[in-house]
Amino acid sequence: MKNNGLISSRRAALRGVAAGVVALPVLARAPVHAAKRRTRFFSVAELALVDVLTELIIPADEHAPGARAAEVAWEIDRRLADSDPRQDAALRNAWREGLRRLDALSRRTHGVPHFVRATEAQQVALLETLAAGEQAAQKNPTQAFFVLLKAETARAYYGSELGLMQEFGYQGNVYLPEFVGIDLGQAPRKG
Amino acid sequence: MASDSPPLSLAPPPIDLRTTYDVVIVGSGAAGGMAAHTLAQHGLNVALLEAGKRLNLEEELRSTEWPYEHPRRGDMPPGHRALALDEYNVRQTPYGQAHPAKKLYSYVQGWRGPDYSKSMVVDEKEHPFTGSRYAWVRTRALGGKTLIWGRHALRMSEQDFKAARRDGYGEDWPLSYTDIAPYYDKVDRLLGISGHAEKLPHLPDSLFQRATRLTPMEVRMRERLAKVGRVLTPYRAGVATDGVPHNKYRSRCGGRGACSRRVGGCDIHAAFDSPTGLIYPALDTGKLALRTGAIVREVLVDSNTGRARGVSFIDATTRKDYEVKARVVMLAASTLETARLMLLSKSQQHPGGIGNTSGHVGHNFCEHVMGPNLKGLMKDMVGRARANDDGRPGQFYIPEFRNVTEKQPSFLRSYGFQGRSGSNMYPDDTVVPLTPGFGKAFKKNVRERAGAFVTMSGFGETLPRFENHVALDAKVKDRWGIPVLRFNIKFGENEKKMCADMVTTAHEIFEASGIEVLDGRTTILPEGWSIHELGTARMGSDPKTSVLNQFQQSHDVKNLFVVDGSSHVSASCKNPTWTIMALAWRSCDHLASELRKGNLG
Repeated sequence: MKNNGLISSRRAALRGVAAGVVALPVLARAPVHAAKRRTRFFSVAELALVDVLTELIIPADEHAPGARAAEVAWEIDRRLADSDPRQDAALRNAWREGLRRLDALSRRTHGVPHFVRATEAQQVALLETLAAGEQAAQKNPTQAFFVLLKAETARAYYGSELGLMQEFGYQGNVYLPEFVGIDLGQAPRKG
Repeated sequence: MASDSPPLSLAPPPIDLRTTYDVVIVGSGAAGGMAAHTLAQHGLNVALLEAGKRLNLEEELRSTEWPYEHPRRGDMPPGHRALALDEYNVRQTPYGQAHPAKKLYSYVQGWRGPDYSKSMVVDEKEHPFTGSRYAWVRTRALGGKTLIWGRHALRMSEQDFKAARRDGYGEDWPLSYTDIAPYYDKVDRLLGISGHAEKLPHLPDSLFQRATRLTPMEVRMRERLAKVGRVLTPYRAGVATDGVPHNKYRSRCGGRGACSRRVGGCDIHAAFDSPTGLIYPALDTGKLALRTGAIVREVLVDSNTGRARGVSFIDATTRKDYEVKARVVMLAASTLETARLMLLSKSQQHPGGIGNTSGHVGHNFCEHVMGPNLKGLMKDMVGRARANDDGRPGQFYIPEFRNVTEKQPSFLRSYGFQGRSGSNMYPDDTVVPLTPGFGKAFKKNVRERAGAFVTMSGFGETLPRFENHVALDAKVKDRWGIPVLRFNIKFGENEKKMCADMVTTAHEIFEASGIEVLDGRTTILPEGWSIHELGTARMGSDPKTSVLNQFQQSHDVKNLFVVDGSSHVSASCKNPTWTIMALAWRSCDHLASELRKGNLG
């Protein structure tokens, strides 16, 4: 999936255009036709929930789009589909159970049986109770699921072009005629 | 650039099994490659055998491919797995036995981008080993571990070669820094090395090409450390930062940072690898014949004289046995495989394995102990504008100071730290785990903190002990029917005390530099983790307690040489590759001279 906008901006960088944090435009992509794209691990409902969760964790802001625009839920789906049903059974169960628990938590706390139907304020409040346990040595299963969810969201987001280049502004992986940084100023001595 | 460098236009001349070569070399890594190069330059007829395949490195590595350009973001295909740290601690060897993975690799394949290096590393299920816990990282491909090495290129010092007389432990090397210094120079010139001269007696400078540059965090650390007599210096990398114009197969480093970020190295061969740095130039002399897919199983001996007469190997494709005849046999299969091969080579004249009259083959194992690390945030660098912090073949190094410039009586020998700072391609790996919360504030924090991160890990010299050894397993065989190694290697008290001290000084360094500690490991990583295994056929002046003389020549069998890390007497705390190559060059010069004089028949 080569991004022509990215390549041309890299070429611009090589031509010596002043580098800074380059704000890349989000390319107009052909809209993803829901009927043509199928989930491989999640059910349609699970994917929708993961999509909401990942966007809450890494939302769009004035700086860059968030997880939804970076199609993070789809990448998580791909990664779980590629995992091994036997060897990764615990991981796969943790996802299914974790998503179920979030719905149950939403029902218990706000009387809304599906997390996706709660208001954003309610959703954020629920996640905050889980995130409170982030550093705890002992976590309940839903708090442990939050840690997993956050890690996988971040991995999929910062591994995407939008996340790595537009949001994070990564500058590396380009040809440098000279290294970037502070030179300790000694002339090289070659034998 | 890489796309312009010519592939081999002719297939390398195959080994002629009717010929008696001057030298047959087993193994094509740093040692074997350097031996092939040196001996071919001397005009000798050389045969080089490599157990693995020859890979198309440009195709395998695709060094500048973005994570999002890869169908699995750089992950291996389903069914391919890497051993995790816990598995080394919890599972018994052989780790691959009854493991449900289709293909199983050592822990390095658990890092980012393992899809690019999976053809280089060994499948643990096909190559078992038994005995004690050991994180054995192996490659089987032309180029050996130079295809995945960390590029840290350091010179050992006179203090290292004569450490025993300084602190009373172990044996001195049978050579001095002045013996090897000219060879370090030759390696520097031939291959190219990047670094910054520091004039430290305990870490000699090389003939450096352009040094990499430091981040503001590293510069501050360097300044603060200098106040207490410690040094932070740019990583000394076996990378041609000014290029090597005499070598048409290699490009000048373009600062893409690919080698630092992935297991497998450099698809433009700016980072040294044995195929482009040594073997292809050797093939160009017309004096080198090469065979890959050749698994050497024994050094063959003349039944009259007891001298080596060649090697026997199994062809990977046909599974048939063949012999290569040579006047001299040179082993460079890597420390543990070489010991294995010597032990396998039993004969009437050498009942304990060839070259093993001393009983020391497989013993005196040493390496670098690892484990303690520290991660933190230089607080006043938070919010620093995004910069290209990882476009370098390596980042920073803090050379040893304990028992060198500072007394530390609770343990012997010393350690250094290797570290990184600033942003890199995987903020989810480095920054996110240490950034709490979620939402807009979290997103902003990740972005603003990434440029302020500092992390470093210790590498310490382990003491060689006779009892730390490998031997042949009495029962278990690999897929070729060759007995595997049984390990008996365990860190001791000195390693534990050294690691406790690493934790202490790492905290001192961070505090002095204004770095807030966010996370750190205090436990020791499993034996073998450093991938710097050494010592199993050590050099020495006394044939009763050593296997080789100072020219890596067997005491017992004059036409047997062993030029890889098995020959080392001690580990120092310095990454061994550059030393391996300098020693091999020197030994091969000596060998060539001995052959010319007729001293080896």
